[in-house]
Amino acid sequence: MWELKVDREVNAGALDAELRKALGASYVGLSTGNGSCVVYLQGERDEATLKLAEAAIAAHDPTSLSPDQRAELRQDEARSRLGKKAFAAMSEAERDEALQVLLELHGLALPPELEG
Amino acid sequence: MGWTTPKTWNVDELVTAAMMNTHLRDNMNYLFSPNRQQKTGNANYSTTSTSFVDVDSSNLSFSLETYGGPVLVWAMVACKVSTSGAYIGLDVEVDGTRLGAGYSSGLAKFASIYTAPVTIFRVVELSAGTHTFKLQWRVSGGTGYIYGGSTNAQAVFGAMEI
Repeated sequence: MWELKVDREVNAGALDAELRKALGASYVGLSTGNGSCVVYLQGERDEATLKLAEAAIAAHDPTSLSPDQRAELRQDEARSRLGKKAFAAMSEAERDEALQVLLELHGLALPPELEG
Repeated sequence: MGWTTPKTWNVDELVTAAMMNTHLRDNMNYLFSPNRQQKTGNANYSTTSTSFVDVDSSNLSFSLETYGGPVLVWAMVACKVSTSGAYIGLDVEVDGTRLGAGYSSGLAKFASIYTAPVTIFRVVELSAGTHTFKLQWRVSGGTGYIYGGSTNAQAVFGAMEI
């Protein structure tokens, strides 16, 4: 495994999705902490993979959200909006929404952001 | 002062102050205060790596000189994983070898989208010498988080000869 240090601001979840798409099986993942980001790649270090990774990092927009992050944001928003409401007081649409989030959080339904 | 293997005393041997200081005083002092390290992470960490990697190679990593006794290793972190059904594996690498190398999730497996503490305690037998300890982690999917840089959570990693 070899590493690539990223010296710019990143949105880790979004960059992870972008690198996974660009590099496929060569990509192991990335870590952040202490203001730095390290990308992990498997196999022997090679120029073609390095160039692909650098291009994905250069094109990365830290303000864009990954599908995972969009789902998490929607779930958090639904929880804070519906969490204090009694189930009996919810409208049918709110009950459907609460049920959908509950199923997603327990791994029983795929968030719509991740479908397809 | 470190530990000195205690001398075997002979009949009629003249016991000198230097011998007493080395074999009794210094060894007692070492047993009361053995070599130890405890580090704290000073940031929030995340990983999407599916292979084990260092959590923080600067702050959650250290070297410790030991004298052949057993070594207690510990780690305490508050963590969560972004995706339901995914998990975080936590492990300790000593001199380049993971203690939980035989397990896919290392020494500890954590699978919750809600933040909770994870603790590792492990006694390891190490030969005398200087050893390098690193806290490592991986995820099975999604993003793993360790909270070490806020006022309400601290990532702790340490070891001491016992």
